[in-house]
Amino acid sequence: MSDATPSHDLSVERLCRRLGAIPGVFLEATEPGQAPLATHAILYDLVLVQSGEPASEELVSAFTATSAAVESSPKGKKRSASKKSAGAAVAPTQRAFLARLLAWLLMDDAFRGTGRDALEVALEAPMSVLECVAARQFVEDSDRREELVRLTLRNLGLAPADERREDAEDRLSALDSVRRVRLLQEARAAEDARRQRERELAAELARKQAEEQAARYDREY
Amino acid sequence: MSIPEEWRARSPRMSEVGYRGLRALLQHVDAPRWNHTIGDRVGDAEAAALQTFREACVGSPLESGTRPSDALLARVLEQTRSTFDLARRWPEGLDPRRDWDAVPTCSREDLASRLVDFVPHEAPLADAVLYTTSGTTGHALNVLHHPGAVAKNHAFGERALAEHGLRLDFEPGRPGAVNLCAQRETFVFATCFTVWNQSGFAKLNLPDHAWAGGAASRERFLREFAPQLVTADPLTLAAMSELDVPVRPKAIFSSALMLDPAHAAASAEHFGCPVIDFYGATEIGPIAAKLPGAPGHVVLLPDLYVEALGEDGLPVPDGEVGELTFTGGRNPYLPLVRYRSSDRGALGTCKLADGREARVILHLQGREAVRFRARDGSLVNSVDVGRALRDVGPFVQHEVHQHSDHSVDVRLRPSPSLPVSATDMRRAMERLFGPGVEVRVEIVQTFAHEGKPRSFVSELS
Repeated sequence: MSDATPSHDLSVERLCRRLGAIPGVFLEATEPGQAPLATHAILYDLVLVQSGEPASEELVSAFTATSAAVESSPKGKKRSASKKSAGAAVAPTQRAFLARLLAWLLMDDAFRGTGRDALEVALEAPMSVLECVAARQFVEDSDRREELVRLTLRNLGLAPADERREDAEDRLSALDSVRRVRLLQEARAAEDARRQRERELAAELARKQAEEQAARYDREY
Repeated sequence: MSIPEEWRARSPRMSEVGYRGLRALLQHVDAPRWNHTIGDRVGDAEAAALQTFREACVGSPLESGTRPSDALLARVLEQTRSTFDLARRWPEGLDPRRDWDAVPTCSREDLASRLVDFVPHEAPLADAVLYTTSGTTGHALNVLHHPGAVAKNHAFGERALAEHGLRLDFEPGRPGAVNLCAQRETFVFATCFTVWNQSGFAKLNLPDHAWAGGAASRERFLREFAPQLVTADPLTLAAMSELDVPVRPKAIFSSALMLDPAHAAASAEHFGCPVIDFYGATEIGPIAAKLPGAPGHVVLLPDLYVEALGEDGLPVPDGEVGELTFTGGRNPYLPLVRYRSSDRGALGTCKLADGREARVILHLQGREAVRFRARDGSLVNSVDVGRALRDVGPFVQHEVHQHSDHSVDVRLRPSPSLPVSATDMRRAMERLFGPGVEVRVEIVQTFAHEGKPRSFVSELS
C-alpha cells in the first residue's frame, strides 16, 4: 500500500492490541454510591471528537440505561419497542459494555474524521451478535477481539492494512460468531432430540392428567 | 388392621396408627361426601430429602444477596447443558458470576407454549405428578412436580409458623390440619400426612350440599376434627367467618389470592389465632409469607433467588416496583432461571428473629381475588374457574369476563396444533356457575389488546 494514510494505522494486529489494552475503568460497573458509567456520554464524546458533530438523539437515547427513562419518556417507549424487534433478549448492560469497547476502539487516531453516521452505524450494527456471545468475550478472547476489529473496519467501509479485500472478507467470515455459535447451539439442542422429548412429554402429560397427584396441605395457587 | 395395597402405594410411609386415623375420618358418621382419593406419595427418599431441607431452611443462609449464591449459580450453569432452552439461548462465554444481568430470562408465555425446553431433558418423567395453574396472566401451565419436592413445602409452612413463634404438635392417627374451601364443586378427600407425624388431613368444602348431613354434620365434623392448622384462601376465609365455622386452630394459612391486611386482622380476631398470608405459585412453589414486624412477604427459602426487573429487563433498585423474577426453587422438573412471573412487587431486606437477613417483597400486586357469582348470588372463586377450564383440555391462555347480567364470556388462545372444544369448555363453565348463567366461549388467536392481561374480570365482584 502506498496510500496517503500510513498503512499501520489500519493494521488489524495493532487495533486488536488497542482493544485488549482498554482501561479497566471502561469495563467495570461502579460501586454503589459512585457515579455510574454513563455509556451514552462516552458515545457522545466519541462522535463529537471523531466527526466534529454532536451524536444523534437516537444514539444517545438507545444507550441511556435507566428503566425510569423508558417508562416515562415517549422517546424511551419508542426505543423499547424498536429494541423488541432487534434482539429483545439482549440485556441493556451487555449492549452498553460492547458499546464502550467499540467507543474505545473507534477513538483511535486512525478513525479521526470519520463521519457521524458511519460511526453510529459502526456502534449499532454489531449489537445483534450479543444474542450469541457475551460482551466480555470481545475483550477477553483474541478471536473475538479480531472479529470485532474486522467487523468495525467493514462497517466503516475500510479495508485492513496489507490485506486484499477478499482475504479480509474470508478471515472475517471464518470468525463469524453468529454463524458459529448458532451451529453450536443447534447441535446442543438438536431438533430431533427435542421433538422426540416433546412427544414423550405430551404423552406423559396426558397420562398424568388421569393420575392422582400428591396431596398438598394448602390451597392450590 | 392391615393397610390396603392401594394405600401403601399412595402413602408408602403410612403407619398402622396413621391408617387407623385416616379410616376414622373416612368413616365418620358426619363425614362429607368424599369424592377423591389421594396420598402424600412420600417414600423414604422423599422423607430424607425433606429432613435435609428442613435443616437447610433453619441453618443455611437465605438467598438475600444481590447475586444468587454459588450453589444456585452452579445449578444454572448445569442447566446450560440439561435444558434445551439454555442450551440454545446461553450466550457464548457468559459468566453468570460477573454478568448475571445478561442471563436470559423466560416468561409464563414461554412455559405455556414450549414446556419441553424447560424440563431437563434427562429427567425421568415416570415419578412426576401433574399440577396445572392459571396464575396472574391466565396462561394455562402444566407443571410437572416431584412428590419429594411437594413434601418440602411442609418445611416452608413450619418455617413460617416458627417465625410466628408457633409449633404444631401433630399426633399419629389424630386429625391435624384441614384445608377449607367454599366452592360449588371441588375435590373433597381425607389423607394422612406421614411427614406431619402420621396425622390426619382433610380437604373439605364448606357449602351445605357437600355434606350428606348438611350444615349440622359440617359443624359436628369440624368441631370433632379440631384442626391445629387451617389452610384456606381469602374467599374461603370470608365464608368461614360468615358461617362461624367451629374451628379454633393455632394458625390459619391463606394462599392462592391476595389477602387484604384488614381482612386478615378481622379473621385473626374472629378465630383467635394468627392468619398468615402466603405468596406462592404452582410453577415456583411457596415463595414468601407475612411475618410479624416485617413490612411485606418474607422470602424464607435458602434456594430461591428473587429479582424485581424493570421494563428494560434490568433489576430496579430496592423499593421500586418491578416484575418479580425467580431463579431456583426445588422442582426437579422445572428448575427456574430468571423466570418472569408477571407478578409485581418491590424488594427490600429485613432481619428475621434469628438475626438472618432475608429478602422481603413489598407492595405485592397480582392475584387479586376476583369474585364471580352464580345466579343465586353464591361465590364462584376465580381459582376454580381457571381449574375447570384446564381440566377440559390444553390451551395457552384464557380471559374470563362476567357481565352484570351474570352472563360469562370466555376467550381462549389454543395451543399450537391442539384443538380446543368450545362446547366442552362451555359445559364445564355451565357446571361451575350452575343454572341460569349464560356462557359464551370463543377461540381466538390473540386477545388483541395491549397491557395487563384480563384473565379474570367480574362486574359482580
